[in-house]
Amino acid sequence: MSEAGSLRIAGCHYPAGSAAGQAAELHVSADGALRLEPGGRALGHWRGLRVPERLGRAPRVLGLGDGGGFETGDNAAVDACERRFRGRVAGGRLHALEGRWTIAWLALAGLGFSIFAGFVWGIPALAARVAPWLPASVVVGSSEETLASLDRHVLRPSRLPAARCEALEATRARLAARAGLSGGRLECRRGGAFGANAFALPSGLVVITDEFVELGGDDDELAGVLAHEVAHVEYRHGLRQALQGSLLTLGAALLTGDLANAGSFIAHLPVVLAGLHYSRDFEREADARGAALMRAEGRDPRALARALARLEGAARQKERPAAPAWLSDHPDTQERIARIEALAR
Amino acid sequence: MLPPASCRAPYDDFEGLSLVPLDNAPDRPPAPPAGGALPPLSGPPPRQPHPPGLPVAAVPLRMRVQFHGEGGEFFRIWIVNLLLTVLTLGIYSAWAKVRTRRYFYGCTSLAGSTFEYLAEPVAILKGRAVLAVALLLLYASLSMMPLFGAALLVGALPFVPALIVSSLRFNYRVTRWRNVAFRFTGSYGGAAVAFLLWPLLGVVSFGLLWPKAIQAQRSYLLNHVHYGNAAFSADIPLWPVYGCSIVASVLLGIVTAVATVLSGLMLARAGLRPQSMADLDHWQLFALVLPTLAYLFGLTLSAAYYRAALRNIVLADVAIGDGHGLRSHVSVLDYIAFATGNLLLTVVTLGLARPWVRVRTARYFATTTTIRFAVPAGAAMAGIAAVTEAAGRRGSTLGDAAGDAFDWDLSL
Repeated sequence: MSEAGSLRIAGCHYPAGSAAGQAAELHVSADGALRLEPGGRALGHWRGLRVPERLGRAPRVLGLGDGGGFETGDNAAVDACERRFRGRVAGGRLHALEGRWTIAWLALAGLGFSIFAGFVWGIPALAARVAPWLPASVVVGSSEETLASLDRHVLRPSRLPAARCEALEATRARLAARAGLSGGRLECRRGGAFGANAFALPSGLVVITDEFVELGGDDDELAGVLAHEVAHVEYRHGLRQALQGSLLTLGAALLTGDLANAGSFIAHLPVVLAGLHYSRDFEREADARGAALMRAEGRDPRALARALARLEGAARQKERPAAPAWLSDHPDTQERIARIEALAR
Repeated sequence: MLPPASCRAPYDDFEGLSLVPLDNAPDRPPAPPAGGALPPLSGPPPRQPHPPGLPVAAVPLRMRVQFHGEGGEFFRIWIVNLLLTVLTLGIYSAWAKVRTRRYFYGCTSLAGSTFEYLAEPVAILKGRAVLAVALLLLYASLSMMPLFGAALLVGALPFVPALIVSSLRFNYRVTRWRNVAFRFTGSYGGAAVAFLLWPLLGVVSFGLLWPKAIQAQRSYLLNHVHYGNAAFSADIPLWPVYGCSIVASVLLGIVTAVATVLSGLMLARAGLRPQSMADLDHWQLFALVLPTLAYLFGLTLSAAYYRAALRNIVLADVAIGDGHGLRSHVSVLDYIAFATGNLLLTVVTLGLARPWVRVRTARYFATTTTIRFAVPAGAAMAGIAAVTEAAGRRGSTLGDAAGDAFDWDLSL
């Protein structure tokens, strides 16, 4: 039996460079000297061992100084020796965290909150900081590429009178100057599958479709729509949406890295929904800024609300039901109108 | 007070061990022998005296790989890993990976000895940082400059085999059993043929050569593994790989067809033509989602079938060194039910059951793998004398991080 203060650890000894192990005991004396039994070979001091961190109940292989190993499932004895001869247990704090269910449930709650906070505040803030650093040439080039691609596949040349389009461009230029933006231009196109629509690309390029102009809105309404698009450009929403999409994908990959096959598809769904959420936030921001730009121009800030109502009325005539709010890249139209009215008051 | 010492193996694996001559070895894992009659092994000694009359020498032994992890225990490790990963903005993920692997390796045992995973988290972190930046750039350029991004993607192709090889080298080098490391000795050329050339031919031939590509890849992955000085070798037959690929494709084809017809019928009933997502209401959405779910379910069935069947073909008869061997005997139908249950469990619990699923899966594949020792284990171990690792052939950490993404390893 053991002398006072000494300890025996049962396990399996592997000599250096060989898998031929032997059942053995590691005798640890009160001052930390090691002896292997059977055989009685001295193995130096405990502090000379390479001790892996504790991990659940999994056995550990202690690295001996001579390249051999000693495998043992007696984690308590190993930790006791670590505490006594090294003063601390490597990874002991982690093991303590991982050992308790209370901590696990707290960690779960903390994780839920962290994901929520990262999604609501972290990612948008990071993207807003990074967006201004992207080189202008990339932004302009990619926007032109996007328009060229849309021209090939969806859009057709505009049939509006040239004067109408030029007037709209003049309005856009005034609004852009008011927002402190230089450059950018307006393009008129027949929308095709896009229908009545207007959108902005990161370089400042704004596209409005004939169908939108032909809805019959007055000049203020169209200016309101252009102000909304200029606001998207001013706040770099296109870039930020792309960046936030990348960050979301990265975050999801980090969290669900071990999901495979069909599981990865299911894991991708939250990323899509979160992306749509960001898009709706940008639309609200652009509505508010657009209204402010209109007011600064001395025009009616409610004009965009009227344009939206007209757009929705046209859609209703065609009996096209609206998408569920959580699946749309724009907020509910009635909500947007109410917000703009409230801002204009 | 220090705990009393006892002569105890890390795990008692011996109930999984049986003495079966190879000639009439069963396909399924042998049932635990009654009465615990066991041969002496190296390592932990048997609890009971060896009964007379049982052969000790010169009889091939089959031993099941065992897994001792517990879902609850791994859940606690997993949730702490995730929280620390999120709080450190991903930096801890390298440590999380090492802890997870160490847990699964440490809980996997064969003949009473567990596996070790000795990778350095800092090394993995560096690799991951490079990979994350590269992926971010690629993603950004694909979304902003599609042409340039695509060119970048094609330009990166020749690096893929290099990443695979160095990842495999790294992962095997840090994997040990009974204090002896594994090695991977595959070359870049071999990886390029298996992971670029054959898949390319598979695509060009409209999938006809795809099973050949799978066979070439598995063969490459398996035939360059060494445990100490014992080399793994396996002749993976081509036609069974074709067979199980065809069955899996037909299974998927049937489910896809049914889901598509169902979707068409439901959309027609709702009086609609398929439009962009933004124009759908709840009912139309349901009409689209239901067949999609059916499709995913079918995909799960097909993937589970393929995984189990392919594993049995690839690991049907792997020779290890001097007369030792490895064999997989997954029951295909059983595994399909198992994998489907796992997917449902994961989805219903929004991913929270993932740790239990992983532990269950590890146990499933461990216990459906047997190792054959040519002679009773004690002598067999002596036969696997370790070789020293070749100096200067260090796997890069970048490769390991990429291997992370692709998960190339020969998981037992």
